[in-house]
Amino acid sequence: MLEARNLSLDYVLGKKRKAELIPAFRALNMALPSGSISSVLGPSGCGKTSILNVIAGLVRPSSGSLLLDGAELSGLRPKTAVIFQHYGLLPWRNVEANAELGLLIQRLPAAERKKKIHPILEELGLMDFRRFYPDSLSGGMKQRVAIARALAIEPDLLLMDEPFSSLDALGREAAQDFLLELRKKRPMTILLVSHSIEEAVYLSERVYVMAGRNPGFIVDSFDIEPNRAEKRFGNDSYSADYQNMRDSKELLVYAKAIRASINRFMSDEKEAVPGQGGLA
Amino acid sequence: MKKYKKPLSALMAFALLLLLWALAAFVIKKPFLPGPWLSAKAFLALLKSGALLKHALASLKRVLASLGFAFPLAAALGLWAGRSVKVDSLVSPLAYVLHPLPKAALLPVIMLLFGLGDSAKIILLGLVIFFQALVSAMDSARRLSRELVDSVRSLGAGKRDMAFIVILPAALPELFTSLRVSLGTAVAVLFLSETFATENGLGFLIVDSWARIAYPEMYAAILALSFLGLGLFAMADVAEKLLCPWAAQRRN
Ligand SMILES: Nc1ncnc2c1ncn2[C@@H]1O[C@H](COP(=O)(O)OP(=O)(O)OP(=O)(O)O)[C@@H](O)[C@H]1O
Ligand SMILES: [Mg+2]
Repeated sequence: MLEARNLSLDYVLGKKRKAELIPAFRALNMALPSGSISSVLGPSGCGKTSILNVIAGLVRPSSGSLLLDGAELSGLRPKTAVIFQHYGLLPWRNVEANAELGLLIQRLPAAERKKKIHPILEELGLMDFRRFYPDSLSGGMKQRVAIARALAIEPDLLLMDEPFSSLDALGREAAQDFLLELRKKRPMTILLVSHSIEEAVYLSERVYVMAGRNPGFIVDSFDIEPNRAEKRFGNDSYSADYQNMRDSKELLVYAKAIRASINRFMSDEKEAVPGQGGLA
Repeated sequence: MKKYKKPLSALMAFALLLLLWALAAFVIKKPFLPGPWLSAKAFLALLKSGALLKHALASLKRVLASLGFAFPLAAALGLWAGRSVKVDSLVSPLAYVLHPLPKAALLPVIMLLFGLGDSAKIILLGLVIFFQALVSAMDSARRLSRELVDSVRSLGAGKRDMAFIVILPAALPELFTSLRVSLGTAVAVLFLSETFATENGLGFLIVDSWARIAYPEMYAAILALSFLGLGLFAMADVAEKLLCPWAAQRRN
């Protein structure tokens, strides 16, 4: 279980004396069950990327705490993998060299790096492209390279920032199913940031809805029963049924509820601050 | 086929230049403008006597020595400044004031400070290369995307990993561009510096044959200096291809 307790972040701009605080998010309380996939849903600028950065240990929170299975989490940790919105691949390293980067930094010898990386590249269909540089790959392939790099460090916590936003509609659905398959094979807790209600509902067992800006905050959370990890990723679970779930009435009801929550908040906000739009 | 395009067009440009030169020599008909044929003969004679090689090597040694100390130093300092606010606040103002300065004008000062020997010439050339590379390195290190840095940091990279895995390779293409720019200037400054206090180098050979009214020889030396510049350019190109293969794949 990954827990955020009263977590807040202000960015500090400028030097000590003239420092300016830019609030990113306020008083977050989250609980991600181990092995679950959860989503943070919210409009641009509400602090979604900032949340991932704090959980990843790249940015220190201003207050509040993060607990992983009860133990305080601070700073970077070797078993947390982050996949950034634009994948964060190094243009001067080919597919294989990008994928093994985490292992290189852990000072694993070359032979061992290959031994770990090649099955993953094989699994992701990247083996034939391992000598290609990222700039010559499509968006979907780049994303798989980023996934390979993340999987190589054998993470138990995977953070993804709008992982599917730069893919076209069909590629996006395939990538979503691919993520579910990956999760089925590996016990990890996954937190992803999304702009899309349908995507969040399809992938997650818990959805946090955010609103506001400087700071953003959580306005609602939803538990999506049919997506519980035990059900979906258990031993004899209905793996082929992901697809059927996509158009199921059951999920539609959740999507509707989430949309209603967002709209309710938007109209509240409009009344409070005339002339200001809420969610984009 | 594409591979041969660049040398081929360079060869054609060279042939055109020769043609214009021959034409001008034919029209003007003065001893101070011998045609390419006479100059080539002088070139071969100088080559045979070993004089050309001696002077060319002296010049090359000066360029390579200045390159060897100035370029890595400037790259390291520039990349550091580009990633550290503290270092930047020291280096940036200095670069801002000193980079636009015409380094050639410092020749007398540097000769007074460092004597008449090779070291003064090497230092002068080094200054030309240093500031160009410094500015490029600072710019490209500053421009590095936050996401790229964060993604490598999240994998546990320390400062050393960050420098060699991210910051330096990101700057390499730009450093090579700066190298080409500064090599052009450096060859010009080399010529100037070799017109003083030395008995070797292509610059000396040009000015010396000029004084001796040995015009074909003078043109042969000018040619040799041009070839030296061209050779240095080609060297930078080859080094870039070897060290930045990803940039080549991107172009295709
Ligand atoms: N490094 C930073 N320094 C200062 N302020 C920042 C920094 N990064 C983000 N912010 C501010 O914090 C707020 C939240 O940014 P963040 O990138 O987390 O939002 P987001 O929800 O991910 O937006 P998007 O959907 O556009 O990616 C924004 O108002 C932004 O201006
Ligand atoms: Mg974001």
